[in-house]
Order: sequence, then structure tokens, then C-alpha cells
Amino acid sequence: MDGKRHPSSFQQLEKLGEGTYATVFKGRNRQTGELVALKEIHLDSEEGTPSTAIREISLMKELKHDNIVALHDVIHTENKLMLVFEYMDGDLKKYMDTSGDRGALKPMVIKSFMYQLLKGIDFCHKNRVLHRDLKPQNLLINSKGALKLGDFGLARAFGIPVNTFSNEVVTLWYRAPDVLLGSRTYNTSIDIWSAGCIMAEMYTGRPLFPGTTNEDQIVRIFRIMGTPTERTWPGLSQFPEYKTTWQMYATQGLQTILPQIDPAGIDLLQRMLQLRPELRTSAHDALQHPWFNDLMQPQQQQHHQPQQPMMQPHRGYQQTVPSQATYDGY
Amino acid sequence: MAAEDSRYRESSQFRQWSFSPAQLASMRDKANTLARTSIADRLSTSPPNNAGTNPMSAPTSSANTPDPDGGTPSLPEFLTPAEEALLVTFYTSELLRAGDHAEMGDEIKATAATFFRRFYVTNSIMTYPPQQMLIVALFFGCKAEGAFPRITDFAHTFGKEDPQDILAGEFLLCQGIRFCFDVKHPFRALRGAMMELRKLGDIDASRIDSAERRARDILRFSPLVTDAYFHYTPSQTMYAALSHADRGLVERLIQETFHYVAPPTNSGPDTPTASSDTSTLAASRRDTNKGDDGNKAAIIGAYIRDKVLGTIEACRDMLAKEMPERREHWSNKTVIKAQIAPLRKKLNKCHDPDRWDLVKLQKVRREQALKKSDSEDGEPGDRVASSEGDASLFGGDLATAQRDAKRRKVGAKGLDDPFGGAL
Repeated sequence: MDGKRHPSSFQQLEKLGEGTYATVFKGRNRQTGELVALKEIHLDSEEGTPSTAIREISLMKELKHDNIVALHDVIHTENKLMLVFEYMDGDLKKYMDTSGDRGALKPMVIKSFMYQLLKGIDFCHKNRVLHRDLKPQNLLINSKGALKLGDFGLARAFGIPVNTFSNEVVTLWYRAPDVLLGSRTYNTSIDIWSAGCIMAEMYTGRPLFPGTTNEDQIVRIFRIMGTPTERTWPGLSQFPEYKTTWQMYATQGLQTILPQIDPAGIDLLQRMLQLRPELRTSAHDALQHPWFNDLMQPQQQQHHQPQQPMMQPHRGYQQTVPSQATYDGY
Repeated sequence: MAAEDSRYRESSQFRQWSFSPAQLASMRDKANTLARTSIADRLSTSPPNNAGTNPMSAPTSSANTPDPDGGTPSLPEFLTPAEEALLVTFYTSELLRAGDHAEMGDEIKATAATFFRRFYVTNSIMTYPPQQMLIVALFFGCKAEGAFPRITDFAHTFGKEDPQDILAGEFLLCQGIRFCFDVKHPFRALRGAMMELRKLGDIDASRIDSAERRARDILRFSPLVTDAYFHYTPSQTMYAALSHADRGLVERLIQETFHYVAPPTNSGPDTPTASSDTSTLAASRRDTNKGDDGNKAAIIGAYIRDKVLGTIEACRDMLAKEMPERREHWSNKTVIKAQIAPLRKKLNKCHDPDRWDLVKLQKVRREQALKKSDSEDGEPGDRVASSEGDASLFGGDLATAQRDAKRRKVGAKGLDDPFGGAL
């Protein structure tokens, strides 16, 4: 491995995606028959190996976890660099479009996906890595119902990344309010905000805050979460993007706009979608939330029927945290 | 602590770049032998003076002794593994000096130095030019640490006109370091240890400050020019450096650390020596089954503590060979003249004729790769392959093609300068 293998070890199949710095193909290992995703990075840059590739390789070499897409190999020729990833059947966006009910997923599927998403995030954060670009397109799904974080190519050097794929709209939808307000000292909490947005979207099939511009994104968030003030968010007026002209919206209860979510789920969502980053829950704490009490352990999920991920009727009940009833009051 | 350790064991630094001294020595020997064989091979197949000899008859063993008869072409005297090691150390210190010159941060310099040394574990210094590779390592070290200097500015800093001089080696370096770009350093551990010491409250602040300064200075040099990174974890290296700065502080930290595991009890004898390893552990395990938890903690704690102390001592000895004062040694003209110059002279004659010029090497390989991709473009099916016929998409055997290209290059160029430019 690690550059020793030759590109011809893989049969190149259909194109899965095209980007500014890379093209992704489906591939098959000629020896083992195993499917892989081949990310081909073009090396015509005048500055040598692109920063995105360096960042991605550097991180993926270290982050080995069930909920993070595995980098099997790095293969190179003189003018091409190819990253060999484990193959996943699709991304969450596609999964919602094809398997959801007008994009909306079943509650137990959502719970399993959220658990796996938070597991992956928690692992990143423990390894001092911020993903920074969590969105349904970057969450990969396989037929066994596993969800894995993918696309770590967005370099720290660029701060908050712009678009990865040129033919895609730059998406602000999962960006945390503190980042939108121009914070440069953001931390792990930005990934939690994204996770919250993704959770809501899985229930409704539509993005929670589909903003078109930075400004519009902020307003859309305030319309639901309420416009913060210096009183509710000390230090707010110090942000570069702070405006005195913001319209003052009252906080809407998440349970009113998302009636399909059960009270425990709303409680968790509320903890993830805190405007103030320091009040947002951590991935580690979120994983302990009682909402996950009736979830099977991930290992057991491996045995699910491929066609019906997460829909097993008999689920193990694991009571490691206070029961749901004690949480209903929140 | 335990979680941090298990995370370290998942790192590429541990999984792919940690070796025992014996493993490391054998890898370096192998790189040296391979280089001798292939350089001897290339020199004897190349045109200059030896039309009639069989390339395969250049045996490694005699490669070091120039043929006195003069009947066969005389092969140069090759560097021994020990000489290579000396040169790698010298050039690593050169790398650090160059990094200082460019005012790079500690982490960047340390990452670059680690890349450089890792590269020369499996590559011989006779194959690829160390003076150029050290600049490449510095450039890539910046990138790996998240700083992205403009290549033109960077090249300028090191008095290079053509950025290609640096870029040509980048890919080669990445390959040599097996694409492991994340290097874990002891600096963070040092900051943590200092915080712990300050928290204790009963140690003079100026003592901690001066120990930190000295330890940091050691970490910026000693582990980087020795094999410390290959053998020890960042925290072990940190403790070793700190013990050079102030041994008492290390003892205190160890005592505080193992205090939690092994609260002092009168039942737990605390001195199984570091050398009596497995049997002691087995014995302590047996005791544990009978005894209470405190006893268990005391015995295992003492055992681990002594093991840790033994490791720190060993690392300390390694660092002692290259204390920061040796910076002057490695840049001292007399030393260079006496120790380095003769080796450079040797290297001038025995380096790889095909690979020494990185720009040319890259050019040849690129052309070859391009030829291949041209033939790919001609391939029908728009890359949607359904059969085995797509083998040509990636080229049948690029490696063979590259080898052929190199042979052609040797032939065509006629090796106008078989020994490359002067060092």
C-alpha cells in the first residue's frame, strides 16, 4: 500500500462525481473484486501538490473509524494522484431523494444515522480535527445502513471552505451562525450545528435553513431561532457581520415547525442548534442523550437486511442513560 | 491518558514509522545495498568507458574496492551505511539551519526534518541528492503544517531561481514518506507537562520557566537529528528532553502521574526493576487475583512506572549524543572539512547517474506518463468501462514504461555528465 500499488490494480468504472481538483470514479480491485471509490487528483498546479489533497491525505491516514470513510491507498503516477477509498453506495442527499418519502426518512433510520454521524464527529473532535463542511452530500451511506463522514478535502488553510464542486451551488445551509457572523475563533461546535441542520432535514426532506446569501442565511436562522441581542448573546455586537438593522424575530418553538419529531428528539435538536457556540452540546454529550436509548448498537446494525436498513422490528433496548420519561419535560 | 495513548497507536507515526533499532538498521542497510547494486549496474551499462562488460557482473561486494587492474571499469567507492547515517545527520542539521534562516516555526522545521529522515530510511543518500531534498522537505513541511508559501517566494528564500528545482522532488518525497503527512511532535506534550507542574503550586516558577526553555531548545534539535522519533513516543521524548533540563521535575511528574495508579501502600513492594519485565508482571497479576485493588494498582503501577523510567532513560541517552550545542559542531568549518568533505567527495563520485538530477528525472517520467494518458484519451467508451478492456485506461504497465524511458534516457544523453553537478 501507500503508493506501492499501481493504478492498473483497479478497474475504473463509471464516474461518480467531478470536481475542481478531483474526479471520483467507481472502481474495482482486480485482485479481490472489492469495489472502491477512486479519487483522481490532477497535479498540474504550479504550486505542486494541491493543499486540499495534502489535507485530505494527511487526515485520512490518521482517522480510522467505522463512521469515517476509509482511505485504503494512495496511488500515484507522475502527473496524477489517486486516492483509493472504500466504496459507499451513495450519499445521504441521494438516499433521501430516492429512499425517503418526499425526502423524509423514517424516524428509526434518522436515529441510527444521527448516532453514526455523531460518532464520526466525536472521533474527529477527539483527534482535534474539525470537519467544517458537514452536509448530506458529504455523508456517505452503504446498503448495510452504515453512515460515514467523507470528503475531508477542505483545507484548514482556506478557513471555512467555499464550494468543492464547481457545478454545485456554494452551500451555506449548514453553516453555524457564529461563522456566518464572521467569527474566526470557531471550534468543534460548528460541526454540531451542521449535524442539527442535517437531523431536521432528514425529518422533513427539506433543508432547514436554505439561504441564498450570507445575509439571507443569517436571517433565515433568526426567523426560527429568534434574533439574538447583546443580552441573549453577550459579545454579539463584536462580530464583524453584526448589524443593528436586523429585524427582531421571536423564537419559534422547534416542536411547532418540526411536529414530526418526538419530544426527546426535539430536546436533542435544541441542544445542537444553539445560536451561541458555547451553549451547543458536544458530540460526546449528544451521544449520551436519552433519545438514543432505544437504538440498537451499531455492531448489531451490521446484520440488517440490506434492503431495509434500520427497520428491524425488534430492537435491543439499552438503558445506559436516564429513561426518556425524565427528559420529556425539556 | 489511556485514550490519548490508544489514539497514538492508531497514528501513522506509530503504525508505519516506528521501528526498533534493529529494524531501522536493517532497512537502512537494505537501502544502501540496493543503491550500490543499481548504481553499479547503471554505471557499468552506461557508455563512457566500459562497452564490453556484463552489467550483471558488477557484484556488490567488490563495488567498494576500485579494481586495481584497470581492465574493467573501476566502480567508485560507495558510501557505507555508517557514512550515510553521518551524512543524514549532517544534512538534517543543515535543514534545521535553513529553516531558521527562513524563520519557520518549530513545528514546520520538526515536520520537515522528520520527513527528511524518513525519506532516507528507504532511499539511499547516493540515489537522491540530500542538499536538494532538504529544501523539498522544508517546502512540503510548510504545506503539511498548513502553511502554504508561494513556491516562487519560497524558492527565492533559498536562492533558487527555478521553482522546478523544488517541485521536482515533491512527489518523490511524498512517495518516500509513504504519504504520511501528519507528524506528532513532543512540543504539545511539553506545554502540557509545564501546565501540570505549574498547577502543583509548590515549584518555583522561574525553575519551571528555565526548564521549559532548555527542554524546548533540546526538542528543537536533539530528537530531530537522532532516531528518537522512530523509537519513542512524543511524550517519552518530551520527558527525556525535560530530564536533561531538570531531572527533578521529571521525577516529580512521574511521581504525580503514578500516584493515582499506585497510592503508596505498605503492602505493595515498589521495586520490580525495569529489566525483570514479564515475570514480574505475571507475578503481579497472580498477586492481583488474590489481593485487593489497591495492591494491584500499586504493583502494576510500580511496574509500569519503572518501565516508563527505563524508556525515558534510553531516550535520554540518545538525545545526549546530539545536544543543542552540537549545532555549532555541525556547522563548524573544521569539522566539516575533516568529517563531511571527504564523504561529499565520495558521494560526488558514487551517486546515481540517473536519479541525481531531480528535474530531469521528473521530466522523463512526466513525458512517459503523458504518452500514456494520450493513449487513454484515444480510448473509446468515455471511460465507462464494462470489460477488462479498460486496462489501457491506466496503461498496461507504466512501471515498465518508465524503466524503459530511463534506459533510453541514459542511452540518448550519452551521460554527458555522468556524475551530475558538483555538490
